Amino acid sequence: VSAVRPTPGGLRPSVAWVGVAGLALVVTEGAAILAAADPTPYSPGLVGLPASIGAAVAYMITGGALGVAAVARALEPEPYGRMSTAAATVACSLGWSAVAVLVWPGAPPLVRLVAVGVAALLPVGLLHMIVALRGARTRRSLLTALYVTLAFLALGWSLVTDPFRDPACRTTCDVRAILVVASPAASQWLGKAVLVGSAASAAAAGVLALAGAAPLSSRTRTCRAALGVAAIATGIELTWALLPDVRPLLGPPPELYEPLLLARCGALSLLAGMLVLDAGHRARTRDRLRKAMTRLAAAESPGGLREALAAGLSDPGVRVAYRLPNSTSWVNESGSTVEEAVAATSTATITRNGEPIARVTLGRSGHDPADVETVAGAAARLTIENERILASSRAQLRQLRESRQRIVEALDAARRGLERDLHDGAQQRLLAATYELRRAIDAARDDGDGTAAALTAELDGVLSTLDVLRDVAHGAYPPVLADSGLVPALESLARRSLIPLTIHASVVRRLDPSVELTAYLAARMAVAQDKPVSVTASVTHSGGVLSIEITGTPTPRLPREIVDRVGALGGSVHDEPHRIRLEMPCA
Amino acid sequence: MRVVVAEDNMLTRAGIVQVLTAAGFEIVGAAPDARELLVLVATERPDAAIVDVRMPPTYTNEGLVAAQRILTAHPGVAVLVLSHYVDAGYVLRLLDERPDGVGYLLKERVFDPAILVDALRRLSDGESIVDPSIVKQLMSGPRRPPGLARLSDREHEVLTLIAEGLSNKAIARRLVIAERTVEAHMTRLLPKLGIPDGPDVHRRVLATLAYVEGQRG
Repeated sequence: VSAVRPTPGGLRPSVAWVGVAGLALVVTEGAAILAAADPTPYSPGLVGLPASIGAAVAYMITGGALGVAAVARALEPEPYGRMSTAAATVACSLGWSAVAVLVWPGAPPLVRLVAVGVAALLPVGLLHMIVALRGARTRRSLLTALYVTLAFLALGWSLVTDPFRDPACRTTCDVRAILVVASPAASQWLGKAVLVGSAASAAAAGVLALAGAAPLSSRTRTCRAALGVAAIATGIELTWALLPDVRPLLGPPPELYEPLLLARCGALSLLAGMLVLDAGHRARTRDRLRKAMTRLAAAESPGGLREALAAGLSDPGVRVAYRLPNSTSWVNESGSTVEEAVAATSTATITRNGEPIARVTLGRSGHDPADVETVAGAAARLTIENERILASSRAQLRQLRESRQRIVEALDAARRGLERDLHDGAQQRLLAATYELRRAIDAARDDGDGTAAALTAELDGVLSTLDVLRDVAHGAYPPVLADSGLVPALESLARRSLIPLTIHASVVRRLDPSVELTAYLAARMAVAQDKPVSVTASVTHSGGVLSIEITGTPTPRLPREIVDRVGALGGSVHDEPHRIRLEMPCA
Repeated sequence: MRVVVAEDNMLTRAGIVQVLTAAGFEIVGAAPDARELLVLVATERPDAAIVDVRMPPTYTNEGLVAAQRILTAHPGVAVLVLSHYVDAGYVLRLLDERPDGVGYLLKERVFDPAILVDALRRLSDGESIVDPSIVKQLMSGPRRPPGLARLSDREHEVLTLIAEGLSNKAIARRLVIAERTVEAHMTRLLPKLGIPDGPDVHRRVLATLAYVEGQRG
């Protein structure tokens, strides 16, 4: 049986599974009623025989519950790429109901033959259920192979088992005419194989339930409860399969038969109940999400996808990431790059044309990311696409801003490097040259030849070159700015400036070097003029913003270089006649 | 006179040592960085320390910081700071720390034995020395104190030399005038600036610099 493959993120429930589940429900209840109504004594010898009226009622209730659960799960939209709990529930339900067909003497031999095979599906169905509930990544083909193998082993057993060796056959052999070849050895071997296969499936299911790959936090609470009950039911099935004496052959049923049967009924009914509850819970979540997405699409609620999801899921910690087009990096709504590696199980990936476009990471457990995928993917794809474009332009803007800032910082580093190189290189060498020249002058004076005057002139030249170099180095990067900060540098500027410069400053601590240099350059520009004015520079640093207001400077506007520097550092310029104000963010 | 030299450039350090040795000074230690300088000063107790402003590890103002520490921790040690920078801010910081026995000279002057030897002698006498380029920067600033305009050219010259830290005797020698003439200039010019006259040479330097500096900000 193959389900209609759900569309990625689609809301379509599996029509085929709904049909099969409905069929299982009808078959279970119908066969059980027919078997109960049949006057012929029941055939013992097969897997499950209700002994008392109580057990028979429990059997029917369980079959009904499993059938209802199968329908509920089949109506549940299954996300793409995940094991279907609908299929597993249908397998359990069919496996359970086949027993009723087996014990109904009125059933045609071929139907009973099929029922033998189908009855063997229950243990594999439970394994399948646990795999699906855990969200473990198991190949579908592996499960299918298990189903088919067990069904055919059971069929083979049925075909080679001589009913005359079965004491029960003495009363009901006429309806069990399905023997092809009587082979006691093969019968024994195949019977054991069915038992071992069932036991192995149940054991594997138990192990998976305890130590699955996927973290449980990505499952709803009801799903986790269903998983626990499924593990218990598997344990009971294992006991049922491995204890040979619990099934009656003839006469009164063994002591353990009825309690164990009731335990099976209880566990499987509880499992069915949990599955229905979980389906209801998830349907409510999807409904709330859908409403939130509708409000988002109608722009009725403030904020974007993240806020809508947080409201819909009652999860303030939810995070949204968008994948940049033609890139493998992810950014959040404000355009900052987010980590690539996120635990895939608490994350819903929303795709378009098979390409992931957004990723929703849940902040708390209790919701299934699959529901977010289904609803958000279907209801808000346009909004998500818009937000993604917005996020990607914000990311580009951010990159641009960061690269502008890096360019300014690189430029400043180069200015500083130039100042250092001049200081450590050229100035030191010229200094050494003055030393040598002075020695030479002394020697020339001692010798009394005429070179002393020429050497002295040379020394004066070197000394004035040192003066020039000092100015160049200072212009590239004032040393006092580097070692003492903005205010001492401005005070130094005031001392060396040709027009009066008054400093009002409250800044004491060091700031970002590029911000300091920008403020300094603006002040230096303001005093670099020959008009008889006096300039005032007021510096304040509060709330993470450095402001420098320069008043008194005549109309010439700030040079483009300084305006660009301020912009690159994320600041703003207010350039009015006689009043320039720069504001730059700096922590 | 026992001297310690701190300068990271090997050639400059050797040059200073050679000039001082030739002039009869005793070099008791030469350090390539501020840390070693402080150790040397503490252990050798020299009469004077010559300190480069920019030294390892950050090559910014380690020397200046070390000089300030010597000024406060070792009152008997004169400190001569050498620098490539013409910046009165550094000088004022040093004078703030201790107004006597401290000097600030541009590096290229120290290879002139006359200047270096004279500077060390004056420092050990408790005078203060400020590089003429710095005094010039202060005196030629844009907002010259109103009192400066009332000074005669000669009085201005005398004031500049006071600011450089020269004593009356040294000023007289420099200007080739009698010491009594210098004193006469002094009694006229200090009141014009509002600075009380007095015999204390370094106080006069400080007062002069503070006066010029105080005209701004």
